[in-house]
Amino acid sequence: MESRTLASGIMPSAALELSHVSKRFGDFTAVRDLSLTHGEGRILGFLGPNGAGKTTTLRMMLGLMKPDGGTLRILGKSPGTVRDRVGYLPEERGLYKRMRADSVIAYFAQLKGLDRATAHKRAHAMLERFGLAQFARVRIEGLSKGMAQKVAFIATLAHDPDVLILDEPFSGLDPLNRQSFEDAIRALARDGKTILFSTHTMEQAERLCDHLVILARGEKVFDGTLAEAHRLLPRRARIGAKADLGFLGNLQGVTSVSPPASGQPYWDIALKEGADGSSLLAACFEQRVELSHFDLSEPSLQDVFVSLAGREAEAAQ
Amino acid sequence: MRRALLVARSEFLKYVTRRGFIISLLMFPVWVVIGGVVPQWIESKTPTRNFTVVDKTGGRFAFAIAKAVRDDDEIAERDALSAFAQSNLDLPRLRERLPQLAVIVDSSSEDPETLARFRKSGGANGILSLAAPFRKTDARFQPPRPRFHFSPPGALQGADESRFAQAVNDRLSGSDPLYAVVFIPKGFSNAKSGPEAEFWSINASDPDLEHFVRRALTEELRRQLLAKFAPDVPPDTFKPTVAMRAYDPAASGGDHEISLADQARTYAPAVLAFLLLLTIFMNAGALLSGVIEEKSSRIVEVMLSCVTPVEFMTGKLLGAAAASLLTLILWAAMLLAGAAIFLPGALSNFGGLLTSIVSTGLFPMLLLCFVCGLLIYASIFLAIGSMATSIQDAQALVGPTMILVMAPLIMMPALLRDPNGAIATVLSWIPVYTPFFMMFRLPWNPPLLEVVGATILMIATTIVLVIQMGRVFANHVLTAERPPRLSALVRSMLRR
Repeated sequence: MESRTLASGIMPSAALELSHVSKRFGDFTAVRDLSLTHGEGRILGFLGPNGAGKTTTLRMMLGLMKPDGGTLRILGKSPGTVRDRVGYLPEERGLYKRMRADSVIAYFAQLKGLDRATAHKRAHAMLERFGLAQFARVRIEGLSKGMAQKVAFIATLAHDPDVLILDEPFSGLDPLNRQSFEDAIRALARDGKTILFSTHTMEQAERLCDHLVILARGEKVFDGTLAEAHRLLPRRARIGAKADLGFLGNLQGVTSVSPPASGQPYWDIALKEGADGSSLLAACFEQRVELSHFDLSEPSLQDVFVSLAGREAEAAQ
Repeated sequence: MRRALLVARSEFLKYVTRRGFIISLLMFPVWVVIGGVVPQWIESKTPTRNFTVVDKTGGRFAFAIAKAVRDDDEIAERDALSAFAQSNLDLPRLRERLPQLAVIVDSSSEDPETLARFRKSGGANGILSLAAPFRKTDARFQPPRPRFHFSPPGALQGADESRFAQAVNDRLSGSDPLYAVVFIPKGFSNAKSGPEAEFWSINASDPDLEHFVRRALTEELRRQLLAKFAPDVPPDTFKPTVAMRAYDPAASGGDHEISLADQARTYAPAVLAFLLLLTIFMNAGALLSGVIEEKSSRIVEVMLSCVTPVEFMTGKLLGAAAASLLTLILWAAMLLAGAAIFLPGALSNFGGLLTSIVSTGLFPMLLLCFVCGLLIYASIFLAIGSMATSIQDAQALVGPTMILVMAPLIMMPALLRDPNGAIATVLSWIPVYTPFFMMFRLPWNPPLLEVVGATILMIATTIVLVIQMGRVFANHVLTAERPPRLSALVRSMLRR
């Protein structure tokens, strides 16, 4: 099991701290010995396949469940005592269908401590800001899925929380709405809000997060930055050539050389960390190999995720 | 508490803006109208039952039955006149100016004197023409349709005994059929096995006429026996009518006579206990479906990220209780409004009755019982909702719970017979039933010790059950599993 800690230099003060947290349901261990620290004003991507323990961890962070072991601190306090400073957006909107958009936002804002007048004022201002002013008095059941998701997002923000916990916030959104959500999340982080969001969409995590945690079968399998995640897998070169490129395996920075798989035109060369692809080109020219294609690529987060989560799945089998 | 009240407010608004709430609210006056009007309407639509009597004793009994039919018509007419007079005559002035006439309207038809006076004054039309100066309206008096009509037996009287059944059948099923034929055999009054008449009818389901004829024959036999054994005594001497007046040392009037207000105070708690059950039935579905919807759409997670499970459940309970109390208030207002529109004369009585109920010392206790009962049952339904993932799951748990809730209705007859008897006392000490049975028994002055003990038990039960059901709620409201086994349920009640 490989687990890495954040190694990005100066750590801002911790907004989320989990120390050896475990949660069991009968004989099933949903979360096992999970520790992580996440600083204020940063975006944490919480990744993992279904059943990895993400929702259980989020529920413990929200104070909805108590851990069987370990400790959780949100903004330095136990989760149940900082409810008003946390905003939560569940995957399935979590809104009362028969309530009006402005009422539901104001209702949750009041539950989070705002007085009635301020909550309503804030609800209308935010609906205006997100382009939903004309739908303020429409019931949730009368809104499209994207609009309802926006209303739910506003309801999460209306009380101006310090920590935002977003569970699959982009599900069901069209590309335009997704982009506006991403912009809003970035803006919130710039304003110093601490954001944790769980997602299955790796591209979004790559675009948004400066801290990633990957869970598999209740255990943390990665904790670090995107660059650190990329370094978990070797850079790869793909070379198109009719000649046998097996000689490249003798070069210092090369880990492995794989001939073209059936139906594939390219050789696959795995490089060691820090290895430069130019030595491959030089060796090919030296051997007078005729090249039809050459590219050098970083592993995607998807590759890292599949590699880590797949390894866990294989271990489980 | 602020958050619990916010949840309560939201829940209350959710309840009272539900279509089901509005429909239930409107159904109540419809029920009242149906309950009050439909029996009268059915009675008015029941055709006059035409019958005949074949009297083989010489006709004395047939004559007695015919006289009873005439008396029955007059009683019905006098009763209708009395009801008509309430709205259409200036009764206070009539009582002052023509007391002899007013007494016919005011007295009971059971009093033979009243009927004799009614007849002597020319029936309803005669009385109304005498009372013309006291008319308040131009409404026309409509005499009621007679219940029975006595037809001559015709050929049946001489029908041969062997063909009698066929002859009766012809009369019961012909073009102008009779409803029934009464056969009084020869030697009817001297039969060794006791007097026995025959009642022939093809409508065996309606016993009204049969009972009526039996009473008339019994009365005639009594008169004949009296004439035989005490010929000098006038026949009605031994037919005294006993009037009963009800008294209670605790009654409100100075003379201790039980007034309408006293009766209202006695029966209002029973009505309130019944309404408690009704509101529980009304709210159970909304409570269950509300929690199941919150679970399935994950609203519950958002809510519990804002409030504690105890605040959430308390808010829900308070919202449901407030909606139920509003229901009662609106029903009472509807009754008053209905009385004001349709029975203006009765409005002051009705308002007085409500005032007398509310002003009684029992009222705060009744309110406490009502609220405790509501909280106990509502918390049980909330806990069921928290354990279910679908309405189908909930139904499996609701069935046994409904039987539990309905048990008081099954015990009602035993309670009415003896409100402070052993059964009532035992039932009052079963915690989940204490609010219901105490509410019911309070007007019958149960022992003070029992009232105090049951009140403490009721409050303690409410608190403990709300806390325990709150634990069940908190432990299950986030799970997507099927309802737990009983052992797991008990564990989750004990788990903090």
